Amino acid sequence: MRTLIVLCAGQQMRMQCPLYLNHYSCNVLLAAKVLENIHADTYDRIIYTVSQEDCEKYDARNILQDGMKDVYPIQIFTLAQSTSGPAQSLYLTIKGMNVAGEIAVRDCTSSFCLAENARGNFVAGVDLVRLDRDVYRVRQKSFIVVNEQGQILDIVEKSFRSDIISAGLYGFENAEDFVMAYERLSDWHHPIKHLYISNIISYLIGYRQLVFHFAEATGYEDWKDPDAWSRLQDKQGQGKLVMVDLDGTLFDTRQVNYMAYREALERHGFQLDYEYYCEHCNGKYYMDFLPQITTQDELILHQIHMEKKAAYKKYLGCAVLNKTLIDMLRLMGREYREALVTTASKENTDDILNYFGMSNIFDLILTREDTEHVKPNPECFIKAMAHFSALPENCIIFEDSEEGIEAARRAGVQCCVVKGYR
Amino acid sequence: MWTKALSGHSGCQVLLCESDARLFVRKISGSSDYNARLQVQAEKQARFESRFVSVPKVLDSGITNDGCYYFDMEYIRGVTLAEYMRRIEIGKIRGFVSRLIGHIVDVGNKSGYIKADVFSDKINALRQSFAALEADASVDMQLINRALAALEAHSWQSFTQSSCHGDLTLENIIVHDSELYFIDFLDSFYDCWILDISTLLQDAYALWAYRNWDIVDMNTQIRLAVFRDILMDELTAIDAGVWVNEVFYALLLKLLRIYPYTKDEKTIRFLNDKTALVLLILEQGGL
Ligand SMILES: Nc1ncnc2c1ncn2[C@@H]1O[C@H](COP(=O)(O)OP(=O)(O)OP(=O)(O)O)[C@@H](O)[C@H]1O
Ligand SMILES: [Mg+2]
Repeated sequence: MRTLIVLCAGQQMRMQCPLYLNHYSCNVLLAAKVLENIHADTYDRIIYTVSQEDCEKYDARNILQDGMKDVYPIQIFTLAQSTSGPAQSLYLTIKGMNVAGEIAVRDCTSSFCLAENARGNFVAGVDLVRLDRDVYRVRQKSFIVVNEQGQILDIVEKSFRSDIISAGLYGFENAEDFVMAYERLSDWHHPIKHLYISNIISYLIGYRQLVFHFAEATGYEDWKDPDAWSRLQDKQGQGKLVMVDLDGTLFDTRQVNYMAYREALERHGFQLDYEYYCEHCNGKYYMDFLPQITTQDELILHQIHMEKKAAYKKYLGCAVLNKTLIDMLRLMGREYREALVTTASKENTDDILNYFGMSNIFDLILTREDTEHVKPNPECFIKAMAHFSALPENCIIFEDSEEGIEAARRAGVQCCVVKGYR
Repeated sequence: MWTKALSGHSGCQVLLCESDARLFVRKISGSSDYNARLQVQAEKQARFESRFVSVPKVLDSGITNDGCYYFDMEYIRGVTLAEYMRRIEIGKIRGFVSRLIGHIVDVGNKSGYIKADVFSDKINALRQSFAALEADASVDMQLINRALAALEAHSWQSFTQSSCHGDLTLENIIVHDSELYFIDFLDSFYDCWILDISTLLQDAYALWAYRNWDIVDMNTQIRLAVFRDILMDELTAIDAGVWVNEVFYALLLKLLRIYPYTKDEKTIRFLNDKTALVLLILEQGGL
């Protein structure tokens, strides 16, 4: 009996959902992609380990079952609580699913190819010298020391010890070996927390003198790497683009902008009324509404604008995220490239995206500084389309303000209008 | 003569010296009161013989102008085993442990007797010194009393006189060219091979040598776990495991003896933790 266990717990987020639930191409889940080229068909049983939280929040169980339907029959093991690390996740899976005999453990963040069908005790690794590109966050990897006979002498976490990094697939001839080592290392006398699978292997090599073989992986692609991620996305969404406005569309920032303007204006002795702001100013470029209510002195106007930008951060807690739109973007991401196109300053855009942990969900971000003219001039939309060589008929714009809608019309792109979402 | 101070905790000055393009180490007594003890150390080191491990050769000795005893020894260009454990190739730990145990047992065989009251006197004296520490809130007196009671109830009969290092922490072993060198020998109040094993366990179990490190990273922790488990296996293999409990008693006594010399609260808390752990192991009848 050979069991392959895919650990999906505790992973990174992409597009507002766990990385492994994203799609590699239109229909292939990343969670399915990790089984390619590793001889997955030679296993008798495949188990995916996911967290209860992912099942509740992101429907992980159903998405996996659905996505794997035509690939392999799989079983799903859910972890009721978050674990202290991958070794504990594996341990609980082995216990919870009564796994015995030969096992292999796969993480869910990369793809690669194993030429030979590794069996028994082994670790799949990537030779950095032979890899044709740099590896992302190489310091976070585990490093493998291998002798000329392909036996692993050592494996260490996050410490440069060799040219070979672990690719994310480990084999144990006997699940019991793993269990014994895990139990010893997490024993109450001297518990070691946050154990990785590599720590367990290291212990087994040192204490039990077990022999682990090195299995060379080629074509390694780490999806945590933003470059690899965008290469992956290039394979999809060719020529299709969705463009999203920020203020009032992706976020309701009326309150944030109002509070920031009010603070800046008060310092110069001007008042600003909330109702008036919402009706006449929100979503507009400052030069298009400030002169009417303050002064014509461009220097002062500029000063006010600078102070407003600085004050913006303070009030980010008042912003409201458009969750429906986020959900739509996540689904559309399988087919469309996604751009944020806004009249807001780069500084404030970065502020709010960072605040909501969304700084990497867009393929392109165009802010006030990137164009000469502001909406209703369509320049910003045209620029985004040019960037992806997308034709207007293959694009969609999400907008809320009259200026934005007009800019979309002039760009010749279909526009979905957001009319409040609280 | 060019010199550079090496770290030292015992109040001795340890200097790396260069003279005539040759490096050597000079260890100088902190005050003349310590002269006799340092001299014993030098003699222990000079007399040392082993099939398994080495020592730096003692080159010279004398008295400084301030009346302090010193001795010179070979400089071993290596790193302490405490430091080496961070990066040691995991498969090499077994060989190191075998050599250490091999040596300790080898010299442990030449046994004589330790007078029974050596231990009871020491434990009594410990009780006295803890009475003075009672005011210190960080010392867990309830724990200490349990530990003292356990030590008093123990029969120390099997602790036979034998030559030993006396303070065999990983900081007092230097690794060079895959060889192990013992330094910093100590004249403890009793000489017994069990003491040396308990000192190794103090590092392997209680991470004593690492108490001042900010973090002991995962790779080091795993290596120490391998070290500990191989050490325990080797210990259990000697005379069908009759020594395991004795070693933990020796360790408990060692830990308690550190308290009176400890000033900082962090170390006291560390000692409380480790004392509780060892006591629990003993109360549960071993591992
Ligand atoms: N012969 C030697 N060769 C190389 N390094 C040495 C030698 N002797 C001492 N050292 C270095 O100096 C350090 C301190 O020396 P040593 O352990 O003898 O003194 P100490 O620490 O003051 O004594 P104690 O451990 O009793 O507090 C050692 O840990 C080691 O790093
Ligand atoms: Mg020392």
